[in-house]
Amino acid sequence: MGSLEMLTEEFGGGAVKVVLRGRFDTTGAIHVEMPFNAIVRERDLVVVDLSGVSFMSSYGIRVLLFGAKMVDSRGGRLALACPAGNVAKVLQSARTNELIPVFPTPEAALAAVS
Amino acid sequence: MMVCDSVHATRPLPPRACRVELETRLSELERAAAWLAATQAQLSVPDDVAFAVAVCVEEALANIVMYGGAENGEGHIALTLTRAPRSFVLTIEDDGSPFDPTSVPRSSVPQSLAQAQVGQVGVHLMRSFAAGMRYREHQGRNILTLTFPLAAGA
Repeated sequence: MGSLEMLTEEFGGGAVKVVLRGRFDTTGAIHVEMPFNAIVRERDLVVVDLSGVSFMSSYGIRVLLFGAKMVDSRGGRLALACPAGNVAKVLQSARTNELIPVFPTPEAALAAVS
Repeated sequence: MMVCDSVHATRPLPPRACRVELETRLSELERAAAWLAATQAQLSVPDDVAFAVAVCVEEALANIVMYGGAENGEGHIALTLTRAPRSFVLTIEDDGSPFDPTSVPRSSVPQSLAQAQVGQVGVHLMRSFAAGMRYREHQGRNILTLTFPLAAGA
């Protein structure tokens, strides 16, 4: 099982890509919450790459929604990229995809936030 | 404690059940996920059903551990997954504060990020991923029963 890993990469044009890998379950979400919040407090253009995420919990959605609200409140943009099948299903069920834009690739998400 | 046994009844498809007992601490969520992975193989749970069960187990346990009122590790939770002829049935029992998730109002969809409440998503996900959800309180225990039908032909 193990916890969720978080890596950040500068994406050019002032955007940052946050790559998450593992289970975005309750434990994983608690694990990344503080470092993730630190990024969304500072950065205005954020792409969250979900391609390596195999599971999504309501706590994970809470972290993403909080981040999107935080960036949005400063006039910035946060987008999600390439959630895998089951993760996309959870985002759709919670209607998170109606609040945070989701793109098939990090590059498409970057183009949208830039 | 992990138990998995087969009960051979006089039905064409005998019901089989797997059970695990957990304590009310967050680290037990990972143990529940590991139990579910092992149970999936033992009960031949199709992938889509296994994922739906995993979502519901995660959300129910997170609620019980974080809001059930028991001190860390002092409450008890039991999960049972049973194979019925046309469905899988998940039972979650705990001895925390009475909580009926079926009484949580269905949330309306927020129209914007600014309006979105950061919370209350867990019960909504359980409703979305389980076909049926029943709650009863019995002798001071919460008993939640969730049903996951098998796709036709599965």
